[in-house]
Amino acid sequence: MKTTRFARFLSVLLVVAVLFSAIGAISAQDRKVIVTGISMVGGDIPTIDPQLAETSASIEAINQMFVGLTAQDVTNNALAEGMATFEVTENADGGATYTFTVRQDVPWVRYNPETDAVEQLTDESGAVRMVTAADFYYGIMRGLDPRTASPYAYVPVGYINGASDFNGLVLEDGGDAAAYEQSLAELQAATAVRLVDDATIEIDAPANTLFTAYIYGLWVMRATPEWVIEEFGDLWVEAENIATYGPFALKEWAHDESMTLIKNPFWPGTAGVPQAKIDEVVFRFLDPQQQLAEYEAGNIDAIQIPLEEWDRIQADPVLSAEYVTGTNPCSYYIGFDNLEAPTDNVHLRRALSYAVDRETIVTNVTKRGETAARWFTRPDVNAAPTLELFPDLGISYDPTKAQEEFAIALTELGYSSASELQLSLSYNDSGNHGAVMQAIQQMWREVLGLEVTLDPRESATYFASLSEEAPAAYRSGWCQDYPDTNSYLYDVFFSQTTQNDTGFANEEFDQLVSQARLSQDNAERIELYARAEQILVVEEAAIIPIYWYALALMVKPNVERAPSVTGNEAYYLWDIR
Amino acid sequence: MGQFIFRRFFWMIVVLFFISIITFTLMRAIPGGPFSREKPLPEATLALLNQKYNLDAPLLVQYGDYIGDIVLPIITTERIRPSTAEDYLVVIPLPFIAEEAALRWINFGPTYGSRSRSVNDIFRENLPISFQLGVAAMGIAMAIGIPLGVVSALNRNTWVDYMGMGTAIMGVSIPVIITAPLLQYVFGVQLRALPVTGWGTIQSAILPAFALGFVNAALIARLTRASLLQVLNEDYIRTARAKGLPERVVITVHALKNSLIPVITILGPLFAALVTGTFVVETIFGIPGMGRYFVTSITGRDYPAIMGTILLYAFILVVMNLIVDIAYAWLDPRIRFD
Repeated sequence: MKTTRFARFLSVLLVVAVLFSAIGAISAQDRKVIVTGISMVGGDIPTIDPQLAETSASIEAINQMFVGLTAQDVTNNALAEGMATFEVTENADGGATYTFTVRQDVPWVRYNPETDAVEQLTDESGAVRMVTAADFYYGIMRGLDPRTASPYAYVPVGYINGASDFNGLVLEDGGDAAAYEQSLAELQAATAVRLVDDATIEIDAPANTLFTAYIYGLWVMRATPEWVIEEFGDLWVEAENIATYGPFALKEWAHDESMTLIKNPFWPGTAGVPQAKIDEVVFRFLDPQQQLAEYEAGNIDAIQIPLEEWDRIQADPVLSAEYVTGTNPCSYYIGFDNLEAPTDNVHLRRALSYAVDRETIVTNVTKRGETAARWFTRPDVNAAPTLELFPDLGISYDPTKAQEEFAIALTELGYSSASELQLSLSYNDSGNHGAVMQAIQQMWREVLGLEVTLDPRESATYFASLSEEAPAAYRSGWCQDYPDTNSYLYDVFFSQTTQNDTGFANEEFDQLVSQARLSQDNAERIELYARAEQILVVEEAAIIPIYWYALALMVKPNVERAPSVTGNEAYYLWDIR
Repeated sequence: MGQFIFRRFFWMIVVLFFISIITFTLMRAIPGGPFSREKPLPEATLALLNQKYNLDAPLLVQYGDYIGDIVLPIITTERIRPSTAEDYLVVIPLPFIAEEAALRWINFGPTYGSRSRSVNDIFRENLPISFQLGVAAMGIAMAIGIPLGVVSALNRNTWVDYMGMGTAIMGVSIPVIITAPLLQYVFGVQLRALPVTGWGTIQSAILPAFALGFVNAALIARLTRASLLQVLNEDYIRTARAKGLPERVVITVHALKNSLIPVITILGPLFAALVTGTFVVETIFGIPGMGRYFVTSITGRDYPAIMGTILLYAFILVVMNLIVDIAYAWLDPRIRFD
């Protein structure tokens, strides 16, 4: 008797559930709403505070709500008009002064749930608060202020005179707090950012380079509302407190679940960042597997493809037609400890690099549109050598050369056979790194007869160990901060940089990238960088370039995605057919 | 009884204290820190972050500060700017001292995973969701598990028993990591009868609660059956039957109540595990509960979140065990706590 009653209960439950979901399906269709999972993962967006952001999910959201002094044409990496126009004057000391003229027609806004509209914010006197140069000054200084502890301020610090001392001042344990405040005030005053008037802000850069203007557009240097931050502290980014000014405003932030942005009608639109065409964007914080399930159920319009499902999607005529490839501005490589045996031997490093069949890795292992890399820098950034211009540059799979180099290496290292060489390949055990490392292990076994041990480590442990003591051979990746070759070759492998875990130091390389850094001629810079790449990946073989990342997306046919080379989606350019 | 509860509360505090020490020591012993990144942060930036989060102080001082923030109430006389580092669970305004004065108590600290939320925010916003899901799953587990176990026991070695226990074995054997996506795919993606992911409506709770409840229902069913079978062989059941009581009364009043003691024993820890959130189900169904924080706080070296979630889990576990002990006395009058 009990079992039948239970069965009846279950069927009633099912009917109720079906009825409920039928009611839910009737929703308003007149607003253009795009639901997306791109760049999102399960959990929460860590922050949408421009001065504190560091993950791609955060930056993606910030780009829709805060616009920089400069902006980027997302289709080709060129500079585009953001919140200001600027002039550069060269200084006698070799530096440059950037004079920004900030637009005067952009108000601070906030979404009001009572009126269901984005509203302009007013000050005590009732006047509309416009975004001014002072707001940019505040944002820049807040980012540089050591008390903010911005994880990304170190990037602009190198491009603003005096910023390094200000940003680097740490209060010693038990130090005098009042004296600390005093020193901070002095160092802030010595930082070469000058607020001239409400429309004008000047920044002195230590060098005149072609990419400094991109740095000044980074999220960490965007305008933020001082009066809101003063009042609400850490909670200023919540929807009920925040003030923004870009093409979208924050409508709702359901922590750990979703974030909804709504079109800001008061954003006038600029050449680089026009007005939004859609009414709302909803970010769903889901892991790729769940994104795909929701996509197939018709509830998400754009997602990133989980690797596990790639073969099924390719085989499905409907799903495969909705596959879109995009740019993920990162480079994947194997680093070597260039200073300690056995990987201090250049022939060994070269042999290991020649023995890696990158084409096989991108077609059979990673599979989602990556490009086999012949060198470190992505070819699509400014001043980078391209495969068309330099068909023979760099390194690629060559088993004969690999074996020749390996024979020399064994002799030099004093081994009679490959079996005497002990080598391990370390990597962070997440994503599909394990599969890529196994493929490389197999290639080394087949081409060189070398048996390496794989050394997977938990991510945080792994990354901490890289900075302290690099393993002999290790997986790594680099994502650009701004679209210029300097962000790759100089920022990572110049001998003095903190990012260089390999210990690679080469005088000619340093000289080349320093010269290219200051050159005003991109054609000349490409040549210099090409030579530098040849030293890095062939002559010294300090790293093994593996592939240039790609973004594998699925977008519903009725949604018009705007292609973006920046690695961030520009939802203000998206539309619904 | 009162003395017993008092004693247990005293021991609970001792247990929580030791758990906090062990957790604190263990998490600091694992290499890597909250700011270990693929793109390493410069030394100067690390120093600033360590200073901001008090990670540059000696470990003992850090532990002392942490426990102090939780245990010691403070009285503030001025308005404090909202900050993730100074977010108190209990705020009692004291208008007779000053306009903005308040007594503030229980601060579990900021979470490194978010720059605008504290561990208390996780307790305030995510815990209730996990709690709702856990209670629903628990309800389903008991509603299916106990009747299934009873019916199987009463029809021992008949087809009803085999069917019931077959279902239970299936439920125990197939992990939720299989059943959850399966349910999601069938009812969400294919039939489109229920939401695929999300939270906030009754229908969005059905699949996760069922996926979570079913596994535990199977567990409860097997335990109920085994326990009831044992009780049915006891002398007092024979006595009850011998004095002519109807079978229904024998089963419900004499057998079932006594057979539930082992079941109740596991319900306590089970409830604690369910209401503090389960990582797999919450991830698969995109539920903004607390379960995810158990895992991500460890991989992210989010020290305050690890401490907070572990201490909360331990607290609920200890309280549930206390309730279980009290329930024993009601179920079996022979049990006394004096």
